[in-house]
Amino acid sequence: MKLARKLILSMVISVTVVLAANAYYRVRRELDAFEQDMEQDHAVLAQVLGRAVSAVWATNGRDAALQLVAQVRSPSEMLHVRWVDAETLKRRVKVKDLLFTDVPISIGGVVMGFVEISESRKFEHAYTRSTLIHSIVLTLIAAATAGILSTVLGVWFVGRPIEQLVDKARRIGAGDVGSPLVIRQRDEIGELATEMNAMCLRLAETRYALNAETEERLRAVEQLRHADRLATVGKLASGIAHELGTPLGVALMRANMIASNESVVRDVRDAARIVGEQIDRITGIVRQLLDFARGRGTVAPGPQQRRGPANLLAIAQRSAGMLQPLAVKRLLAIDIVHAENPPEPPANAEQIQQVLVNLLVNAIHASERPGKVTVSIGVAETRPPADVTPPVFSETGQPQYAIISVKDEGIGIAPEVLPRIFEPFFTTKHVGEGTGLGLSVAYGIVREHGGWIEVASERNKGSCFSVYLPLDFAVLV
Amino acid sequence: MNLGERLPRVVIAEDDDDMRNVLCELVSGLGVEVAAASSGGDLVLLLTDDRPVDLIITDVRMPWMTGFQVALSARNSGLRIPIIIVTGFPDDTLRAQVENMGSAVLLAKPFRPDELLSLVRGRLFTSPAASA
Repeated sequence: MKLARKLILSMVISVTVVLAANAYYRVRRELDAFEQDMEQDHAVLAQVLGRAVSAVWATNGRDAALQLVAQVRSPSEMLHVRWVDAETLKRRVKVKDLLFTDVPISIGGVVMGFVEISESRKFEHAYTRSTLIHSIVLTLIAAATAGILSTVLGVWFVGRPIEQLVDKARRIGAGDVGSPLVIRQRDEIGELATEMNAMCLRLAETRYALNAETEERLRAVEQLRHADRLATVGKLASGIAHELGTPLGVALMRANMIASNESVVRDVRDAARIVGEQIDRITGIVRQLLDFARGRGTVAPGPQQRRGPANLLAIAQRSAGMLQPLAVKRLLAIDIVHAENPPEPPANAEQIQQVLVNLLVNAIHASERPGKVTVSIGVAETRPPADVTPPVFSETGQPQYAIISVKDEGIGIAPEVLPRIFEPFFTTKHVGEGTGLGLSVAYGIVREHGGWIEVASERNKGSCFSVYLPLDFAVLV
Repeated sequence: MNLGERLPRVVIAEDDDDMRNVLCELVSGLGVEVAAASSGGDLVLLLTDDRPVDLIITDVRMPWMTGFQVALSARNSGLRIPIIIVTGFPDDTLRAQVENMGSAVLLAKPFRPDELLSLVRGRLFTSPAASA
């Protein structure tokens, strides 16, 4: 309200000054005119009286002339005429309130005395006072009117909208860029409000973009961290697996030799066979670890794993056929859904089949009630996660990926478990049901192919594992 | 492989004693003659004496000289016999090199006895056309 107050004050002062100046000059002008009138009247009167008194003096003598002067009366009692000699005139006290005119009366060239005309300026003063009062009253009324009017208009057109603008600016400062200002004024304030709204819109857009970018970055960092953790585990696993190669080989071969030696006691042979079987199991696990590690970049694909166009539909049918008995035992059906032309990404068919079998086994194990497991095959254009290098030829456009997904209606995956499912030896299955390597191996193989696995899961509704494989051959350099 | 009257002779190079012993026993179970080396240097000596060699089974990481280096030198100097390279570290480079060597195969540790035996059998006892 301070701005409005300033405007009001300046308006009142200017109105007052203009009216006061106007009153001053009017009074001055009128006083001048008044004075001139009086002087003119005196001049006329003096001429008439002078001639008359001189004539009477000349014909009837001094006494008749003085009597004539004494007889002059003004009707308004404001004007006085009397005879004065030179001595009296000299001693006369100058009075500001009176206008004097002295008419010399000379007879035969000798000045006999003066006729004195005196007039009071009372009227003039009264007039000045009344004009002054009138002007003051008028100025006060004008100032009050201007004050009230400018207050009302100032509050309405300036104070209120500015208060709204200030409030809005404060809200923007506090981070609220919504709720636009509605000020219906086609002036600078209205323009300011429009600009402020536009600014808020841009701020909101920027903030939205910024938030999206931040989220994207956090997600990317999380993905990288995850990949990094798996890479570390992969290195560790492959290191152990390599070191285990020789001792396992020796133990396995020794056990097999004893088991097949006819000259050894039967019990010992049986025991050796069991030892051999157990070592065989360990060998299988170590090999899976190496498979996982291979996808972590520690071991690159060899010529024995050349990739041609892999017929995903055929792979899916083969894998489903393999697991049919297991599915039937659990009263599950395996459905295969695919597009008209199922994609054939460049991939090692055997490895992709291993991935699919691992995913299907998990899906079957996760299904605690009769239902179905659906394998879908399709194509999508999408951007890979941060830790997957996109195909070389698709820097500008979206790279194309073949998707093969396995969806079950099982128990789902707990959110706290989800980030760890690809870690080697991580399992939620019962002891003996799985090594905890299936998903790690799948992850390793898919990564080796330049793809990735996405997981969506809901408790007691089921999970969906989607394997993305690049369709662009250029990615395989 | 036409060997005439003599037994096939297999050279096995492995620096780990237990591994070498078991490999020797396993392969000799096939009824072949086996010669063992415990380092790259020993393998070179075995390959350069005058006796015939029909198959080389060698580990890669060994003291003195790697089995792969020895095998490659042998191949480059005209030895055309089959080679089985055994390793716990089957990386991409090694795989490519072994493949380029020709008539050589890479066997990753850990392996099952019958995997090795079937490789050996395939290289010693099948017809020349099939074992090429």
